[in-house]
Amino acid sequence: MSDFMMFSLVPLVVAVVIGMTCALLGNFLVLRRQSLIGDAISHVALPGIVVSFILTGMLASTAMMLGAGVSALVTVVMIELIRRLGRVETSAAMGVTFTSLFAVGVLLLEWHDATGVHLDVEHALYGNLESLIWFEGTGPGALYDPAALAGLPPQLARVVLVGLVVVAFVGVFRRHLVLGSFDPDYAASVRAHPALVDLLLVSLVAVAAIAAFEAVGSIIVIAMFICPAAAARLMTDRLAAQIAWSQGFAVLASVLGYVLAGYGPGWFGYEVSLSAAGMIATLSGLILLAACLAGPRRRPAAA
Amino acid sequence: MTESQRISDEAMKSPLAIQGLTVSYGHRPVVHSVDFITPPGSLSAIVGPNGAGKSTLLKAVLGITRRLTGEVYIFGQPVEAMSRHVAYVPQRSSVDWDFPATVIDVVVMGLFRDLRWWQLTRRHHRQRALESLSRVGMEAFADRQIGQLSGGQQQRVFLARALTQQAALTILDEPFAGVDAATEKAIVEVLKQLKREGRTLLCVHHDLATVRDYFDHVLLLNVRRIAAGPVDEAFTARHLQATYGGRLSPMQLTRLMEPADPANQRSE
Repeated sequence: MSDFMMFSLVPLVVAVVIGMTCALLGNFLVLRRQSLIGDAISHVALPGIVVSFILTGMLASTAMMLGAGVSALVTVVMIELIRRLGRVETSAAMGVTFTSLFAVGVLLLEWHDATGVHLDVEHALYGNLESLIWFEGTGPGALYDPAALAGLPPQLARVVLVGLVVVAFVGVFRRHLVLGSFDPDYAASVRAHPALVDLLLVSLVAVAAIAAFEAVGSIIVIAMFICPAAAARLMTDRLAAQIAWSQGFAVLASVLGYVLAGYGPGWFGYEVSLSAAGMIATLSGLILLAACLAGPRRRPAAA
Repeated sequence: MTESQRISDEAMKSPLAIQGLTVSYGHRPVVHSVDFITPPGSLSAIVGPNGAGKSTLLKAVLGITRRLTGEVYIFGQPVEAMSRHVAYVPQRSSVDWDFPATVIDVVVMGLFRDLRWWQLTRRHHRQRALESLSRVGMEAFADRQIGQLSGGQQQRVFLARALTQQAALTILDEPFAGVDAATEKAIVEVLKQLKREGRTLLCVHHDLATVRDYFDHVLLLNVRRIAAGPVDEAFTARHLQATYGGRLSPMQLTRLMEPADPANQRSE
């Protein structure tokens, strides 16, 4: 029990919270056929995080959130510029933007790695979910002990805060989001400010990506933005039900993925454990595959 | 008050008065210096060839597309303050009908401005949406998935969404595009009914043959305003040739100039 509290409770909660947060936003990205923007921004989070790190010298959450906001803006502006000046389609512009900015991030990271700070390319990709150890979590009593709670890894509070902000955003702007996703022209005509809401959505995607980034790495973030929501769309034709399915899939992938990565190899006699982030992303991909093969709404309704 | 003094008395009373409206994409003007006044209680058409800027004009009026110059007044007030009084029916093909929503969900979207973020959609909201649906004869489809609708049914759902706004002015972009004859007739009936209730309607319209039957006012547009006014005065062979750059055949024109034949109408 104390082992679980110390080594597994925090990573599990962080994975579930991040999964649910990204999946919630992912619903609107999927509906707007903009899933790739989640991908783009998760990659651009890297240079954003590195630059804010270089400037402030620490992994402080405020600086990182600023980095998130700035990187989201840079991404959106760059995609739009490349699309217009290069006369290419949006997805091509996104691809160019995120690969090149991610590459810049890798170079920056390597360059400042020489100065000996613990942030490296491997972490950026896989995260370090397993390193979120709660040293004070020695037993159930720790949950009520303020001193022990103060020792919780700071990433936990960060992802929970971001999760709450995202839930509040979707709650307050639910009609704006739906209307802007379904019919942006009509949304503009009733002053639902689709362009502004779009920018807010993209900014929150960036904030969620950066908050998740440090804890779980970019692979899982990308998977969680796309897979649960895309799978949920294949399960139902109702938006509320789709969101519920996406949350269920996110929890399933996170919990099962974490457990399988940690204990799965042991069940087969291998004394190793796999990357939890990698396992969670793989599982969410498998869930999407299953929904593609067996989801009740996998074909568009006949006109 | 100086603002409203500059505009004419006619424009003050009009549900939609446009002055010197110009919209451009890049350096190319798509709509150039258009003046147009919609009389109250009229059913007006905007007619012109493809690329004449008809939809763009509507979008600029609605604030969807930015206008370069020009003023738009709703009952003499700048449109920014009066947008609540304008309802919009976009082109059916402009949205993704595979969206996870039911017919009633889409019609309830018309209540967007009446619902604050903390309010849930309640039964009386649904009731209002259902009333709009029954006006277009679609109440039986309320719980149907929108992806299952035919083109004509989709168009009627869009019309019902605009009806829930109970706006004084309704702007429609090609409401008859790709719908069957029966649906076209049903939609025209709803529009004429609205007109009888004293509402004003403005449609982008493609079919020259039905202009005389459906509409009482017309704006002939080809980037610039070619002519505007009551159909009998503005919808002339000379104006049409100017609008379509002389591409209409003499036979087409003679047929269009004949007064609407009631027997012909019924046989549709």
